[in-house]
Amino acid sequence: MMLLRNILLVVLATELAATSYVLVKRTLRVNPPSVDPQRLDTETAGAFEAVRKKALEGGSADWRLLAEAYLGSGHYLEAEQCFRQVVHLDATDIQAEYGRGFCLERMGQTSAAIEVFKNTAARADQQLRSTCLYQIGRCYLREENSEEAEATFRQIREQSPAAYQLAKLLIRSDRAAEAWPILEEQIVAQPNSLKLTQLQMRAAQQLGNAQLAEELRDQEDRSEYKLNLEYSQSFISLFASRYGLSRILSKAMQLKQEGSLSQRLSMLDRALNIVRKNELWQYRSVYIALAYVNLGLGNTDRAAQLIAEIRAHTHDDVDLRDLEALVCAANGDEESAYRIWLAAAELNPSAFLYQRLADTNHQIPNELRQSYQGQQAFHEGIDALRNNQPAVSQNLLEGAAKLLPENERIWFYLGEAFRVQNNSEKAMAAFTECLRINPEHWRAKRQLQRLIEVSPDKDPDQPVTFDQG
Amino acid sequence: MLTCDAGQNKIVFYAQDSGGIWLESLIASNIPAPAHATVVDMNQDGELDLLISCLGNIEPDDGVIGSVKLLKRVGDEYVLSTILDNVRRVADVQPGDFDSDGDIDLAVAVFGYNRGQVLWLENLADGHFREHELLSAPGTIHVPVGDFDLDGDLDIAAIVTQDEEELWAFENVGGRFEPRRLWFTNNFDLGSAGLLATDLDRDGDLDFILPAGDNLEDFDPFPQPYHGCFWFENLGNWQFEQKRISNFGGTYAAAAGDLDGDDDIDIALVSMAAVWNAPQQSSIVWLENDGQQNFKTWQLDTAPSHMVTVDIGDLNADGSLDIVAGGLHIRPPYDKTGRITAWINGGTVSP
Repeated sequence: MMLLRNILLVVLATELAATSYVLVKRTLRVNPPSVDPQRLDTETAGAFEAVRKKALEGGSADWRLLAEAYLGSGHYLEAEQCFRQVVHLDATDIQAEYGRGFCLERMGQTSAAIEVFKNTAARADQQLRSTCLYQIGRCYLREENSEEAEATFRQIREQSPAAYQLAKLLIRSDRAAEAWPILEEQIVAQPNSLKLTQLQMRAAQQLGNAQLAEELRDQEDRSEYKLNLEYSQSFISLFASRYGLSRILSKAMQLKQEGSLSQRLSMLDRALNIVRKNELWQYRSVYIALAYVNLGLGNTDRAAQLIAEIRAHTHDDVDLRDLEALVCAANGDEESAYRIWLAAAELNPSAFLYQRLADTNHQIPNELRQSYQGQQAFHEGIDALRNNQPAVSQNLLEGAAKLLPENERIWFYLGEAFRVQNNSEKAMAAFTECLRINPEHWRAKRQLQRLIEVSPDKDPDQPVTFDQG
Repeated sequence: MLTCDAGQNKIVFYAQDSGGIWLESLIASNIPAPAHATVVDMNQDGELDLLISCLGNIEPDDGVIGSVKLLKRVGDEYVLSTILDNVRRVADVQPGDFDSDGDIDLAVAVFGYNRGQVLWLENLADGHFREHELLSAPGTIHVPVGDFDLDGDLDIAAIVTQDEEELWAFENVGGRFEPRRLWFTNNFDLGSAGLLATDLDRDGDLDFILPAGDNLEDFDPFPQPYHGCFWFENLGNWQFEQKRISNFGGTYAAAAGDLDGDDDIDIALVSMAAVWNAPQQSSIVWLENDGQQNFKTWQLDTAPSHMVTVDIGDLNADGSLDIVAGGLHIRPPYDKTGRITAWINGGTVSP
């Protein structure tokens, strides 16, 4: 009897202790922040609530998942609160500390962000330290504290974006001579970088080298955007497609590369249901993608229905017009398709649209079809020139000129393609041809004049001819 | 009201009938993403023509897809022609006889995206223009024209945004232009969103009003403490003093006018980036001028959200100035959308 009583007492004491523990834990636990489900699509709202419930019961890893979910959907305030809790639960989680600094920076709390980034940098590996310092430098820029920004970027000068920012600050404070070697070093690592070329142009202007500035201005048109100066998008993107609609859309995108049309159709239909239910017409891309997939599967009626919805609720553009034309063509109405493509090409002329016109099944005269082929080659030629491929451009433009010999623009850009390749003679010939067709073509006049100025043997009164063979 | 509908590639005119109902009439369609319409008698025949700044694409795009179109008034119709193409996205065109030869030349803001320009187009007659580059820099939004140095000829100003954040003037010196950088900030995230030339302090020279708060490049734009509106007071001799007159988050456009009829110039501001789920979040405010250029901010409304343009004019011909604004709803939330909204000035403002 005594033994039984003692056992019961132990059980009771254990239960009391356990209950007290649970009660204390519940009392002390932090309630994870939630976001207004009205601001989310239903799928995302459900996924977020599940993650939130796990965080309520769980540890730092669960809180971090919730923080990243909120960050990925732009809820910086809620994400910052969650990251703060992660750091509270696990002080060694410096990625969470960085995430917290990131949220503060996004919300414009730059002073607080700088402190957090500094704490993170002090404990981080080389790569994260460098990222933190870059973010600190950018925060100082946003505070218009150029001195501290410059000092910070100097600490990570080997990092290209920091070197760029440093050089920019130097140029803006009339120290182009100091900036120049930094830029030269960077342009070796990233040749033909647009941002670096633009800065070099500013530096050359400041240093009084007008000719170099002009050459760099010319190069600017053919340089490439390759220097990533802003880390926010790429950081948020890491977390943006984990849940809800974003996840479905991401999968649909993946299926475009890897899956079948019917798999993609199923995924996009799922997305469409969410988009429709929540009136998220910003996901116009879902409609467009779904219409293309349905066309691919031969479901023209379904495609037409989707297109009508796009037309009714969103903006007009070339994608939409192309879809409308494709539906007409699929239904055998080639003439309407042709007219739609023609109007689209008038709105936004491009190689793509001229290819559609050149390939039309509508009965058009051969001469007209050839002119579309010429326009297609012309636009491809311009694109190649702007992508710094002058030899490719030259070939395309020569082909275009054969098809459309009286098109002044083709001759002008052919002249440009030759000029960039330092073939002054052929460039002058092409510009002259352009001016024969349109004597008022001011750009051709200017370029021809410039070439004549640097070709002392050339008689400005002597016409230049071009061999069209 | 003359509007550019970049979503539908249209220029639309609105007029009220006798019952006060707004009627919409189409002026032109198939205009590639029009950003701005400027009313001017281009050929000086007594009829008002329209200069249209065409982006070519409302979305970020570095392609050579911009243009300047002219809608010339001929009888009851507008005849379309292209003045400039083969340039990147064009955000603004302003007229002026810069070379004093009696015809109308043009200042052009080629916004582009990663690349852009400020141009002036010299009128060579018969619809021909010669292009002159004043500046190569991305993100020029507006190019107001005026005699900023009071020397009797027309100068050009430009606000350059994107990664630059610079205010430029191009001083007209006998038909040539000398560039002057009037101001810049190293806060490349400021988000300058436009430029207005107006004599805010009524001292006889033109000042600048600069709305700032464009952070559409962000994944989820958030209002920032440095957003708002600046007044650049013209001190003469190309000296301009910067003064902050508003902290309104996400400010995307400004308009100036005497809204309260007390003979000074007030300002209306609209916002594109705010914490929109807060019920009392302002989307449009006006800044009341006390006559000494001290401004008090009044909330005008909380909806629609996401407004990108604002203007001031007497819509109902009652002698007091009203406000009209346009929306751009490309970011959530979508519960307070609006295309064109007018606030009629009745002493107390009501939408």
